[in-house]
Amino acid sequence: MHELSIAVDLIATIEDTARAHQATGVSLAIVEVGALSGVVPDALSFAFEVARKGSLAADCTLEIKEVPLKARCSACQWEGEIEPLNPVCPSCKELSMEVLSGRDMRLVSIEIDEEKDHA
Amino acid sequence: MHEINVGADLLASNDAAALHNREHFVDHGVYVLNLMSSPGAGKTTLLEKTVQALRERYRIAVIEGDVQTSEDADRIAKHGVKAVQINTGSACHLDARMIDKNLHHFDLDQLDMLIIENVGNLVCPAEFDLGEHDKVMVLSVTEGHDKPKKYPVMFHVVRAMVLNKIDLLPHVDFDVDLAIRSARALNLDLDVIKVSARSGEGLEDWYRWLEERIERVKATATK
Repeated sequence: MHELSIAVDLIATIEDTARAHQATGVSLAIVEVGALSGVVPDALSFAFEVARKGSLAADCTLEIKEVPLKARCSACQWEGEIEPLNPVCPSCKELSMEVLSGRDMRLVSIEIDEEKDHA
Repeated sequence: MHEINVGADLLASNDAAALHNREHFVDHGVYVLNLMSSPGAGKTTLLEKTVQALRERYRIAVIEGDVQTSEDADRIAKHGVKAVQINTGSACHLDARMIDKNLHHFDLDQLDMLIIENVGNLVCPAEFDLGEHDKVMVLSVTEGHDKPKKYPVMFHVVRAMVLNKIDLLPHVDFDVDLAIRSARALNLDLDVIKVSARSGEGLEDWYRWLEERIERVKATATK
């Protein structure tokens, strides 16, 4: 259930960024969640619904992009995407995969609402 | 409406707190171990044996993380070392801020090793850096050799795996070689130490592993 504490931090980061740009609200937040990050996208979405209440991001939509797990085989140097639950090299079948990416969880960008421009 | 690139690591606030903890530990030369496992793997029994064996040579303290009760801290305190319980309530793991808030219980100058026993869980604790020197997990042979494949993050982040309850190997279908091979597939340099905390078999290897690390950290203390 640590998605809730992550969602609270996420809201804080979104609010800090939005305030720094004098935003009146945030309409969209895009995050990347790695396949091996341990974060469950559905649980994060649910926690976000709870955590956003009363914040600058109260009406914010959360878009989660899942980042696949990429690894390199130390035996044959094969590189590519693998399933987290199957760490066997698809090329040489050795159990010696070294993780390259897919462990992270990042806030990529947000879309903010601003005061109407004085035209 | 306009788009702003952020590029922020969502675990950053925990990482910042962990860094703060780590600086304290390194300055004071206290070796800190984050011990993790599923419930019932034998963490507390291993800890009791470890404290008994090493308390003459080293000044040890323990932080016990549990959802509730202080039973584990009470078990450790019986062996004459300071044990502080952190009850996480509904949280399934300890985080760096919980450790920071409890460090005032200890005089770090008077310690050689602080062992943090995490909440019993193979998933969430693996995600949170506490500022420790090493993460170590206990896998018991009664849990099955498929655990590395089912909980890859845990096996990926730890420095060592203590394979516990090896006295029960004749009674269970646990393939030791397969378990070690699948764990090392996620973590090439993983140290594996086979023990029975109950019978005492293999514990000397575990103590030596710890001693080497405690000494290394002591030697580089700045305070």
